[in-house]
Amino acid sequence: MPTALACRNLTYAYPNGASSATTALLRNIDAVFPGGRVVLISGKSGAGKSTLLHLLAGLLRPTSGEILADGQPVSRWLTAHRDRWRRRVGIVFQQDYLVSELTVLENVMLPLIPRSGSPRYWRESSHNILARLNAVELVGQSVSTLSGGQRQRVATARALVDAPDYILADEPTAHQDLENAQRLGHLLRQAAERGAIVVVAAHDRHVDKWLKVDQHLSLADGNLEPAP
Amino acid sequence: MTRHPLLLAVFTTDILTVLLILWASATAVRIALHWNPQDTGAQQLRLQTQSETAALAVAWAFGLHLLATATLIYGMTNILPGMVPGAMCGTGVLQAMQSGGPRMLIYRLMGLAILWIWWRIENVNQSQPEAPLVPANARIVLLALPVFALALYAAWQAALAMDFQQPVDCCAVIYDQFHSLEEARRTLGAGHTGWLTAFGVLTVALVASAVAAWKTAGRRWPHLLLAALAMAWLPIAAIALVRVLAAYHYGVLHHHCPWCLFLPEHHLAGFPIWAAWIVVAMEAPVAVALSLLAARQAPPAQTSACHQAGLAARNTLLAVLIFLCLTVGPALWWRLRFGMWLTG
Amino acid sequence: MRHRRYAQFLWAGRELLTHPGATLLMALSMGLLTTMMATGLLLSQALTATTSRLLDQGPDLVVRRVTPNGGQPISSQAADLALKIPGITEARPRIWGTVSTPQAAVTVVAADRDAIARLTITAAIQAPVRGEAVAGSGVHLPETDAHLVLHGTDTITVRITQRFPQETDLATHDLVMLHPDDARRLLGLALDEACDLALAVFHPDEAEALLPELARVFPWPVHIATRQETRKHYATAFGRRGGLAALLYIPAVIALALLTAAVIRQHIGSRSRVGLLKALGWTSRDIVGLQITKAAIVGLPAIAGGLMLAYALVYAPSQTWAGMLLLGWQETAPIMHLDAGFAAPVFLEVAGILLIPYLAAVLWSSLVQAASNPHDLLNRGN
Repeated sequence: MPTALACRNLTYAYPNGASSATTALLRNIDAVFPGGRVVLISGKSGAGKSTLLHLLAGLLRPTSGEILADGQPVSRWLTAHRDRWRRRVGIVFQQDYLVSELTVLENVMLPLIPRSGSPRYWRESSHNILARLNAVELVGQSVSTLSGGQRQRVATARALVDAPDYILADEPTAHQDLENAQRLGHLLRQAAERGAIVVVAAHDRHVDKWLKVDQHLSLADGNLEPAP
Repeated sequence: MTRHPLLLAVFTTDILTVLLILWASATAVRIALHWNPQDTGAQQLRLQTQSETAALAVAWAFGLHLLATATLIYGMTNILPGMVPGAMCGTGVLQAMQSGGPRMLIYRLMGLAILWIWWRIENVNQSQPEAPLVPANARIVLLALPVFALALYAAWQAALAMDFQQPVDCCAVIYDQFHSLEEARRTLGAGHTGWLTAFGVLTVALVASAVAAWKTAGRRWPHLLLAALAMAWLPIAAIALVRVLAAYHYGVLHHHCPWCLFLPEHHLAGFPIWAAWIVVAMEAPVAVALSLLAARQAPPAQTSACHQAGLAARNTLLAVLIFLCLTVGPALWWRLRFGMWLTG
Repeated sequence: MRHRRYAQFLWAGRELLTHPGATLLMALSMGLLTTMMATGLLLSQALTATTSRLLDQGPDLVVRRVTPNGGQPISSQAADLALKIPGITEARPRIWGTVSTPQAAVTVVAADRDAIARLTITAAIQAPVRGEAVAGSGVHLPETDAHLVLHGTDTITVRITQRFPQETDLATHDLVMLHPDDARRLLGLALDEACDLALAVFHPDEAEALLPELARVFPWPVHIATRQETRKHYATAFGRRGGLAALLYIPAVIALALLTAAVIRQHIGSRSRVGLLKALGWTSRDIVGLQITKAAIVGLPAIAGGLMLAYALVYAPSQTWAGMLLLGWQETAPIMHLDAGFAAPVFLEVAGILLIPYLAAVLWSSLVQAASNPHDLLNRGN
């Protein structure tokens, strides 16, 4: 199990229109996300929460600074090594990014295919996680027939199917009712208890109704600070 | 100039190879000037990304170069002789290519050697998440660029010189090397028994040093010895093959042609034999380069470099054994079958 | 590892089924292109192999008397002159030429009992008597009558009593074999005259060494053709034709590569899908490996099927399409001799010409996608 995921002097800037100038979205962030704890990052829309999660997942390279996983500078690793490390990461995106040509079960299987295991194991694992998220009745359906909440539950199941060491969830309950949100909160808490690092980004003020948070950070003006 | 599809294909592949290396060289220059692994600034992070793309381009260039070289050798030995009047094998084709032909082959081999070393170092580099050998490989890419440009220019000159209407005298090149049987039995003043003895002694020494280098991959001296022996073995093995042992493939004496071995009537034996020779020429220096490199690296990269050096030594050993089987094997078979050696 | 490969193979098959139309189109395009390319190359190789086999049964050297105005009849005594040269084991004057029939031009040749008996491929033929003839399959006769009218220096009518065997068709297609007296009359030759001289030598590989001496022994200028030279001439002509046919398909191969790239892009889906797969822990190698597996599932059976079809078009006895389409043959196509040594490189060549750009297109399009930044693919994809 991982001990910590950390940002050191992390800056991310994006190009500013056609000119060569850039706008800094995140500025010199230093933070540590320890293993076995649930960390909430809150902030307004557009504050850079999703970008920070993508940087933590190694989906994006920082403009400067680095991301350290167990002390290793993963953000500076060669792509192949970073890709392999990402197998330990489960990420829930703000959008669901489901593959419309595949069924619900096949969408949930996707992270398992390049890893070990047989098609039978893929099916059983996917079935199991869907059941825990109250979505087992959707198994054979095409994703194009699902509602917004159902799609989000399938996307969450896909992120959690391989019991990842790092769970990065971006607005995971945006379309959920309270009951399903609480189910998810329970699953994330269980993951933290087995030693995983859980980072949740949300702008919802009522997160405490479904998730027990260990640490609350606030992202504003490119800086990450403990929430008041 | 000939517009034979085979030469056009090789030429196009060569142009593509040079363009890929040129592209990678632009990154290599920036790496040589600005690479700083301790820096976490924007420029260093951008260079890290660019180094990966450049490595991919060089890997493609290496693959294309191997493919083009193999196609060229096959064409020179099995397709073009049918089109050049008087040509029976690659000797006649080289004659038709005039001075561009041999230069093209030399530059191609030099390019192959450089990218071979690059590839082995890149294997070590890729095994480490933080790619510690990027600057070393950037310098190798910069070294490769002029060699590949010269190879392309020589290929162009060779293609220009080729004329399917102009006859060549393939056999004259082979048989004009000597004017009497006594001359045919000697090479550079030494008799064939002498060359065979030198070949035998060096082969045994090379095999022993390759085993030592393979099994003691972390130590430097077995690799240095391996490279030194390989450099001595290569010309002597080539002379022993062409002047003495090839006779057992051809079934006739004094046909001192290295190219006829590639013909179907001699079971295309030239391909594995000369490929094994080239592997020795490439892997033995690589083994030394990697063992020297390993000494300058931190532990994880050092282990990987030692492993690659060991692999290079093992490949040298296998190549020598293949060369030995395919050159000495037919001679032994001849002796068993006819009860005598081919001497005269 | 094997288990993982098997699972990945199954998944690749499942992904192909999500686009059945594109998959089928891809397979059909590859199969047809393979057939077209392989047919041209196989036909030229089959012609070379068949000609080579027939030439092996012919003379080592052929001597013709030449003047500034063209060929001249050769005297039968020329054979004695040739036999004086050590190394020449046999000299045979030959009578042959081109004449017309009411339907088309044909080649006539005077029957030579010894030659017929010696050739394994014509061993079953009886030498024709005066007024009779043996004809190839391309020589047509009126349906009600077996008589053929031949117009040369003189006009004669002969009765066709036999046909040449099918396996000699490439050489005997338009051939008419006559009694020597009939042939001389038709071609306007005197009793001791022949058209050329066929020579056999003791060591065929060194026939060329005899040429200077042979040219000196005759009192008139001669043109001497060697078997090697003739074989090379045919091989070059057929090879060039086959090679040109293959070159013509290069635009088609490029089109195929572009089609492949487009289909791969469609198969991978939008850029966001690649970004998603990378975010879910797929490495670039996994993504490229999956695309290669998919390409192999479609491409390998398509190429194998295309090659089998080309093989059937060229070698199957009743098929005449290949010669009609590629070489414009009007008549029944000759039956080709199958030589595995000739056919195998063609199969490899076609597989290489098609597979390399196909795999390059697969590799390139998947690598370009897979090497991109996952975040960019996810956010700017589609």
